[in-house]
Amino acid sequence: MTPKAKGITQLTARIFYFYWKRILFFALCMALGIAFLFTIGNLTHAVTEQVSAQAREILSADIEISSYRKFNDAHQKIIAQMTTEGYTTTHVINFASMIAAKDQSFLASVKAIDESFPLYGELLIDGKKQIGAGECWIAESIELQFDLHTGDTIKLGKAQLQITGIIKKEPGRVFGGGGFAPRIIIANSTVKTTALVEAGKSRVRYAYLFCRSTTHSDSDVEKTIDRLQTAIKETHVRITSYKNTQRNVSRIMERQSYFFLLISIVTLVVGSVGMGASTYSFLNEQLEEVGVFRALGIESHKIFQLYLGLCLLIGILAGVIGAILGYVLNTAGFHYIIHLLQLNLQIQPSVHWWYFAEGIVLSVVLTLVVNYHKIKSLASVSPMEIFRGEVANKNISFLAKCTTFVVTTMVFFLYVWYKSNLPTAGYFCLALIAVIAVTFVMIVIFLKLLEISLHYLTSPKFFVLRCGVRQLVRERSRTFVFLVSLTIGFSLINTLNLVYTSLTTEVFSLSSTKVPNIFLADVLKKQVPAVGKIIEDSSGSAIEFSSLIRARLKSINGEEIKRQVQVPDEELEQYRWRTREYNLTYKNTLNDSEKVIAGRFWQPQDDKPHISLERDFASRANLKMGDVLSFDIQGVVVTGKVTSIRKIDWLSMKPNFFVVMPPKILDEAPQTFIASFKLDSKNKIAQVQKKLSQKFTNVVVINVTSVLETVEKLLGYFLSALQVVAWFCILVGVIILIGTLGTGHRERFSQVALMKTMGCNKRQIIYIDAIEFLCIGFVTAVLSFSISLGLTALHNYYFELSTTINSTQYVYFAFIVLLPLVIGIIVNSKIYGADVMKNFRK
Amino acid sequence: MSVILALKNVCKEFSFADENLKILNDISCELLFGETVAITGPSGSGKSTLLGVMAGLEPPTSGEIVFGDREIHNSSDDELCFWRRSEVGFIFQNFRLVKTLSAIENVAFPLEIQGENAAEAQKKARELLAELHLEHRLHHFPHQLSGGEKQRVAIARAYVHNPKVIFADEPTGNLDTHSAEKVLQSLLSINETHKTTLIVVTHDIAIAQRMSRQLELIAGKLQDDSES
Amino acid sequence: MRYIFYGLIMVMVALGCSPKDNEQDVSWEDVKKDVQDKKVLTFIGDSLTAGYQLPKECAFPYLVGEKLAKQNAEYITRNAGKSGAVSDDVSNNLKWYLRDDVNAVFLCIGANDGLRGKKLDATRKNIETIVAACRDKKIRIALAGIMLPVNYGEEYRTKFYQMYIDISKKYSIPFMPFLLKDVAGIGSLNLEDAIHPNAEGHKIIADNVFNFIMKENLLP
Repeated sequence: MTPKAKGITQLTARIFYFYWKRILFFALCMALGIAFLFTIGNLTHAVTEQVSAQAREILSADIEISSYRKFNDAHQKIIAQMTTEGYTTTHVINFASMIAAKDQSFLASVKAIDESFPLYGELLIDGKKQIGAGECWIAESIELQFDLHTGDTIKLGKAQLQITGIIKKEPGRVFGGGGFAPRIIIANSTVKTTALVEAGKSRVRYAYLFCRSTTHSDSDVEKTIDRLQTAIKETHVRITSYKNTQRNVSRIMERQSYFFLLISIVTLVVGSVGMGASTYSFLNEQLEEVGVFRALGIESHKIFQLYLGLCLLIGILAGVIGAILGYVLNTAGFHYIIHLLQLNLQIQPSVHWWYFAEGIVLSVVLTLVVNYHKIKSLASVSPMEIFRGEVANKNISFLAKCTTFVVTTMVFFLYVWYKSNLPTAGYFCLALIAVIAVTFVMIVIFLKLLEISLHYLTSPKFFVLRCGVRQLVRERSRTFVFLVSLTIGFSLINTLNLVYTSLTTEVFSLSSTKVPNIFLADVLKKQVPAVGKIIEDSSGSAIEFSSLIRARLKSINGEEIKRQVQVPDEELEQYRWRTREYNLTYKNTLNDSEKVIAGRFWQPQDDKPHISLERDFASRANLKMGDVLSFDIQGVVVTGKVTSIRKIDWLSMKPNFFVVMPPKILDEAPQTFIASFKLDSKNKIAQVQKKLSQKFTNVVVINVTSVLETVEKLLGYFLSALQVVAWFCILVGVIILIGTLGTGHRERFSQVALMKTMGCNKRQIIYIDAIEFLCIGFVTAVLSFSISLGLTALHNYYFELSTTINSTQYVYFAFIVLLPLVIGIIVNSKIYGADVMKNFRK
Repeated sequence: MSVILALKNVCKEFSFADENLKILNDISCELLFGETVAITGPSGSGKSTLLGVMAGLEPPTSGEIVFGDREIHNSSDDELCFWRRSEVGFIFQNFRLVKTLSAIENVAFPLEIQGENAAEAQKKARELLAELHLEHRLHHFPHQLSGGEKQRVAIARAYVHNPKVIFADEPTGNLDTHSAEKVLQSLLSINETHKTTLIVVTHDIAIAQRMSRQLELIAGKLQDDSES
Repeated sequence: MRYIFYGLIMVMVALGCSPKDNEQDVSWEDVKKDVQDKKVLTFIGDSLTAGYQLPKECAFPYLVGEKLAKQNAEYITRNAGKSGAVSDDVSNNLKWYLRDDVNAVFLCIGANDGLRGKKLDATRKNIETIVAACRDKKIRIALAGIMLPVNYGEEYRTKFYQMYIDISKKYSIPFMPFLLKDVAGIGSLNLEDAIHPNAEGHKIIADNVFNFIMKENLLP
């Protein structure tokens, strides 16, 4: 180090040392953003892990290799090799069979297991916990429906089996799987004695489940899956990863993790604004010192280095504090918060050291980028200018401001790109620019309006109001910092809040009485009234049946749909959707989960063969309004014209259909009816099942209670995470608010002293401040509400949720209006109380 | 002439660490209506503290301060505020203009505090500023004014509501000789027209001598130089 | 992303930017105009007949139709198979299945009844209803049998198969012992679910069914 360079470094260190309290605050603004980023990263990671674990539990494995045919030697070799790689495995066989017991016979879904089952999740048995040859466990529904209990025997194929336990909970038993029949579990060793499994003559699903060892990472498992997929060519062998068992949930999770990422980055943006604003005023105050340095002969570029070095220190400090804060939040704080908020979030947050490095780099880059132009202008002023006092409020040029904004946005763009993908980054930055632009324009308009209003506030009774408004209008840059950072912060929090509300209203209504857990299928037309009565007796309310007609599309606008041997890839989806068999229904009214988005739904008296299509189906099959479609319904061709397109809220779990036609056309077609309803108690469900199976043997009853429970649980994790994030956001918002108020603290001190000297009393001064803070609160509330409503609408559009605004929003609005007031008055309370001379001496 | 401000055995103590510093030691004096008084003394002698105590900005440790028939040392904060707003004007060494207010608004401010209509207040402020030859600077903000101009705005502000007494703390301390002279002349001439009691704290003997009475603060004791 | 894309399309549709509306108007007269002047052989059944997961041209009824056309028979075939159909579905909708232009029926129903472990009396009754209705309408009918997989248990399987034999005897109608003969249980002829025939499987079924129809002279 040259002596001169050493001198500059020492000077930097000295300034740093002298102003360490303030510098610590600048760093803190940024550090909060970094800590938040860090925390959200871990939180998302933890929630994703949790969902994966849940997904693994659903599959009860990391990987499943299954087939309806017996595995050949090559497959067996591959399976054996897996165990040498450290995977634990278990063999499972599934098949349906008729069970005979106590003069009854019924269909059951049989599962033959090894001792090592399950690899994940819990198999909860009421009774003997180990299963041996000649024994079986039966589903609770069998116990209730067929009056079979532990100790009874049943006949399965040629084997007599003793019931040794009742299955209370079974991993991997969610839906589908072995059909709708109730479960019976036997030991693999019992299969032979049943004589039910015969190659080529039985329909049996063989499966090997694999569980990773502790040394396997996610990517190891993925690699194994890739390898298996190339090694096993036969299409009848299915290789399933836990990831695709809950593909939809994972997809939602993936998107939501981006959403979280963006939220945390917005927090960082707010932090940067806070940091930038406070360093800006700090650097302004440094002008005099710069003048002295310059007069003492320090060159302009040395001054530049000096303050750049200072910013570097701030950046590093911010990164380090952020990382440490994040670490604390993620370890001790995290559990505490989860406990405090009584959240249903059983997660072990993991700490990734990589985030530390990332946080420090990010904060250094941001600090430098945000302050670069200010430092440059600081270094460029001449000492004379400073001593004449001509540059006391010298602002950097508009161009420089724009460049700073663009470059900062670029940094965020690159970071989001690095963390997610290009389109997300692009949309994010566009949204950010739009939000800031809107905020800016609206603040400018608002200030202009206030300025105009000053002309009308001349009456003495408006003295306090006039002073408050004047303070707001004249301290333009301070007001801007307040409003921009608060608006962005609260828009974000409120967006979270709104999204949370929409999600809970929409998704958590799953547990309300609205969302059905029992589905009936194959009800015949003539059985509808009687079946309806049975359900009504149990559930207490009438249920709605929908007819279900199977059809194929025969022609579109008179053009026959022909089989194609070679389908180009880009038309494959359309081809599949056009040639498959699907379900139609007829009705005259829409249910409350569907909405016509194009055309008009017919009136009951309307005398035309209309067709109404579901939106996604229409676009996948490339069908549009006005198309004339002919359907082949069991050999009879039915033609109609598309006159409306509907959007369906699939989350409602109501019976909904891609294609709907008026009753007049279809009521004679071969049809069965489906219905859904909600039954809470297990006993009632069993009763209904029993009654229906006795009277209407053809009716299929599907119980999705456990599916709903699983979905609810998964969404629960997600929503809890969202809640934690929202709380953090509020915390960050409040801290930044305090910090921003703190930047003008000294000046406010002397101003209050002055006003007191001139005879303003304490009350008046407090009122003046209150007016200012109320204005800030009000504008923040209005701005952030408009922005957050826009963002929520966008988010909900993307995820196909409907936006719900509940009464908490009003409370929240009031909260935002009052928060600056309360915090501002509290932060300034010392100023109001202190006596004038003391204030002056400061 | 009647007494406008009387100090009786006023003491002011500050404690620094464990040490008690007696800044004002048993000060008694009477100031008359319309007098111009200079309080001089070496720096650190407690001039500004004396001024602060007289103006009710700071309570004395002991003693009495009576302004007309008002007992300053016994008044509440609100009463003092009311008193200052109606009967007292201040001029400071470093001007202390409200940064966010223009020259005219700064001058009108004391009137606004008194409850005058803002437009009316500005009218009076405009007249006064014109008197001080600042009519071309009405809508400039403090940072756009020179030091001398700032102090003249401050003077206008001190006199605008016709106070009975003006406290000036080193009014020319931050100015070059030329500006200082101009400001002093403005101050004296405006005081002449308003017939206000003017109490100036200064270390500048030349300024002190232009006042009708000189008091010197030495080691916390007040000496009346004009009588000696 | 995809949803945004769909959304955009829908917005376009809603705003009326969609491609031009079809001028053609459809009336009730067009609705059920598929009445043939040729004689019709209808295949009534479930997913096995419908050609589950296959284009309709791959399902055996279509292939049988091709063979008939090659022989210049005056019959065309119609596929009235429906995935998931149980015997109830057919017996309750006979008006739709047995329309006036139908001259012959090839019935293969009941597999889903069996796979779901239904009570066989009901299935038997349904099939008999169908057969009787054909008789009433003077429609020639042939019945194909179904064998359940071994895992359903010997007792149930036997009863189930016996049901078909009994019905065919009772009404003395042509009986094809097993629709999936030479196809069931053979991996290369079935889909991955090991229960539905693939396109190759349907070809074999078509051959067998065609030969059976010819042998039994179902189409005079």
